[in-house]
Amino acid sequence: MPEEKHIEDDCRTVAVYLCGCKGEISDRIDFEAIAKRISLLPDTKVVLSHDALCSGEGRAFVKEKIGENATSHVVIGACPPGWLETPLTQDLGDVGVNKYLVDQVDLREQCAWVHSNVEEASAKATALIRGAIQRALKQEPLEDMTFAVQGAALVVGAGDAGLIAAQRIAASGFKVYLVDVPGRVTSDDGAHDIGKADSERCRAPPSIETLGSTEGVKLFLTSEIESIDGGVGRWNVAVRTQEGKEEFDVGTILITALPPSQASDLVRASAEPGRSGSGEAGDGSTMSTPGKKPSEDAKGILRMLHIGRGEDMTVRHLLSRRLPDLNRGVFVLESSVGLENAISAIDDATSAADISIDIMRRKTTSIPRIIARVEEYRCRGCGKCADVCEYDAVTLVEREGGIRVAHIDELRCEGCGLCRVACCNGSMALLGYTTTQLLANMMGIIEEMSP
Amino acid sequence: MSEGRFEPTIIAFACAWSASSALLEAGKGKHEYPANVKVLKVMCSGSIDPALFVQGFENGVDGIAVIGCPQNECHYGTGNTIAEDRLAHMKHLLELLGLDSRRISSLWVASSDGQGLANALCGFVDDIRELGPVPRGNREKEEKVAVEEVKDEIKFLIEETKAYKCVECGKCTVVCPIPRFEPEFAMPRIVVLRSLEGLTEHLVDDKDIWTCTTCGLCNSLCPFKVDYCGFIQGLRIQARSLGHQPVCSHRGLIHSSMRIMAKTDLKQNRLQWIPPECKVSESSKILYFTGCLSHFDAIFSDRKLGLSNISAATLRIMNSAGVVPNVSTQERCCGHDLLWTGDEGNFLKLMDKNLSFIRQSGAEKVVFSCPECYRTFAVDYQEFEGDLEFDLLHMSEYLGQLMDEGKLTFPKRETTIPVTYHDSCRLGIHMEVIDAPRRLLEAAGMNILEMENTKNRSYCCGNCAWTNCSSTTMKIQLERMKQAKSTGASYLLTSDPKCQIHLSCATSGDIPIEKDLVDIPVKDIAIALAELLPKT
Repeated sequence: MPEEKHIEDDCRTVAVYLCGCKGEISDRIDFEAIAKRISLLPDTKVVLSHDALCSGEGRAFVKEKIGENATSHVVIGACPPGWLETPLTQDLGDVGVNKYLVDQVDLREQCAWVHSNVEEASAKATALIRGAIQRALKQEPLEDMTFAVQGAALVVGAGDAGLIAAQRIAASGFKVYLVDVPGRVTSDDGAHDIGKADSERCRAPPSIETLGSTEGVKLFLTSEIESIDGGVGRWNVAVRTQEGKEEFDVGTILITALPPSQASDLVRASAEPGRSGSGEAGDGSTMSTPGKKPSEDAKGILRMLHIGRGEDMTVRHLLSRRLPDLNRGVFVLESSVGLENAISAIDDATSAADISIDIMRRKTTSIPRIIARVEEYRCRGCGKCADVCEYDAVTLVEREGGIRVAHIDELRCEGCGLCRVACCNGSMALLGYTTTQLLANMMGIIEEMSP
Repeated sequence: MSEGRFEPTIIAFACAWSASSALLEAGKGKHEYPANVKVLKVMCSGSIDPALFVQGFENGVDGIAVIGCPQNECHYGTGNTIAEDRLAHMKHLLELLGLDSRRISSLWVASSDGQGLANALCGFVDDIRELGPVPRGNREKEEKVAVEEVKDEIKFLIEETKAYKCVECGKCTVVCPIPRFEPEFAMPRIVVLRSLEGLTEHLVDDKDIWTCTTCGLCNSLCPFKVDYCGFIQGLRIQARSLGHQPVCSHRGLIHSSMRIMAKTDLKQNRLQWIPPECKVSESSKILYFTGCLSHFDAIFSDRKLGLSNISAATLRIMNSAGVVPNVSTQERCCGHDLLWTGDEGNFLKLMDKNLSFIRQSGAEKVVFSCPECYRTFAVDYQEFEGDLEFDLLHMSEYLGQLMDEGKLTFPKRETTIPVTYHDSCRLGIHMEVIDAPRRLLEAAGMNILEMENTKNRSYCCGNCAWTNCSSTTMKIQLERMKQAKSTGASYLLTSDPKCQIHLSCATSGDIPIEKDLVDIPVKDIAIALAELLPKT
């Protein structure tokens, strides 16, 4: 872990930037009132607003202003925050503001668009910003976690999507392991279970034979995945074949299909209102399928990959929302939960293959340091944190003087924070979401609402 | 917001997965919900510290919603199940404190269900509006005082506790349980010496003043009767007035609950533990002060300690001796843990509330289960208030009286039960109640096998007032459990529920020594005694 910088308490100040979102926010929230109120807070150095912070002009504005008003922390009131990495945080990084010291408040989806009364929405926005300021001030600068990536990929499912992804990765010179269960790939030209190939765009999948004879491709077409262990950049895969067990390491993983015994368990939830339709209409493709959920067995595989069991874990969600998550190099494609549209299945497979090639070429990948941390001097070594960890990321290690303390495996920790509540002693912290920060955030809101 | 209408402050904790997605969907769909709702993002609903709920209600939140993934769809597997379970216990704690449990609500939403979420939030805000505001009490800022003032206070403290009499004979050092495991620990004697040298500023931000368990062994051995414990207690109050605070276990949840009791006059609902067959009477001259047992059951729900069975057992024993005591919903925490963490202001509020309800009740005798309540009334309340006009008795002393009067009897047993008894520091060392519990246990047919450190040399359970728990604490606890196990007794009995919480915590997890060495069940004496009462 790189040595951490600490900001002295009396050097902690905040600059607040408000984004009007071309009127989407500024027409429904009174920026002047907010600025007036927030400027009065002792830690606020400056409150500035711009019509569109995400535009080139807006980014230049922030760069210029941050030069004029150097502060330790920055709070942005704008659209919903992403996962640390936004063009704005990159810009701020260029001028020396660590991205972990930037907090973004959602003034659009959580204020402007859901409260029609301008006064109420503005009051709420002020409270949220005040909370975010207090929370941000408790944050220390951090660095992302960087992991080495193995130059090999695992593709699960030898359907159209899987074949295309495998071919693409192999063509870039990386080793590919293509795994599918017995009985699914019967014809010699692959399973083609998704439907008509996308012949119009000349993206028909290769035949099994072609792929099998491609250099760097290893087929396991009558095999089952027994276990996947490890973490970002290095996964150890054990495959049970008819001959026995085989193990190999991969850096990226694409799940394009779940075995039929598992896929057949997929259930279509009753079409109760609010459960159908993802709301991402307009892209012409099949939308994410909230009605379909992975079966229990399929969840087992997702578990091994440290991936949520919910319906969210499709590549479309990854692409649309969680950019830094792509750096994990694990992709569960929509075809794996029963996608009917061959074109988007192939689109997804191609995108996921390209991203994984990119990660493998870079040889390392970085993900945000939102993981648990042990404050060793407080740790009792009772192991309650290890008991609740779903990812076996916590172990007890011996320190000098026979003291046992909890230790976090950064590769395995997914940052859920269950361990910190299990700890009776407050010796487990979730970086970026510490109890101290959440309390400061809440107190900021309370102080604004009931002075 | 419309004039005159109560606008509640509502915090919603939203997980980073389904809940955050649903909030985005609500925004995109422009599904309105009241602006009272302020969202705090967390990674998982299971990662929300319950201390935040209590601290929220303490400081001015009227309702808290937890929004997470639908059941069985937690991104991390079990987070929302854990959260659901924890919320149920937090609701129970709210009820005990006299707050409506509807003030905490859980909303498990599908990631696409913006409309559903908005509707649920509307409903929740309506509910809270109907419940009205959480009484705030006075939210006074803890004013920091000047260092000079603190210096004077410490001079006074030196006089009062006779700290100047210390001749560095070192008798106290030998018995202090902490240095054995934490050699750098500056025990009270060292703290006293530093204060005599006038090193005030260093004193108050020293973590050692919070590490001291205040067990009082040093006091009891000092040939010059220096009150080291009193000195530490006073020093903590001064440290706090300068803005220093200890690291509290459970992130301060317990202290926060106590402050809610101190600052508000909520109508508490704390008598659910009374078994239906037991009798209590509001007009009784005998008041049974039960302590915070039910609260601890809610807070330590995962450990299933069943501490409220202690008060039920005590009541059963009293009833069997023909005594029908008064128990009161107006009882509040005695304030022990606030006082010992330096929060004198809220301690005094609790004292006033407790004394005023006892005076109104007309009680002549107050009987305590918990040694901490007993010490706090007998020593601290009387120090502030002068002699109290009612008798104070620990349950073991009172039951002993009933036994002497022939009212309480236990059936003769053919064989005795081998037990060992852990004297809690508050009862054994501070209050010198050592023989009373032993006499009771023997009368009931138990054979007490004494531990290596016992009676007025008893070893500490490792922690006091929920501060600075550490690996040293763990070692002290395991040492005590080893002592207990090596007596060969079937049970380790204690009269202090907190000793029970601490000792059982040490052995409940993964321990660095063989489980066999410390494997002995911990039980409260009241429960052990009640089990041996004649069957009715």
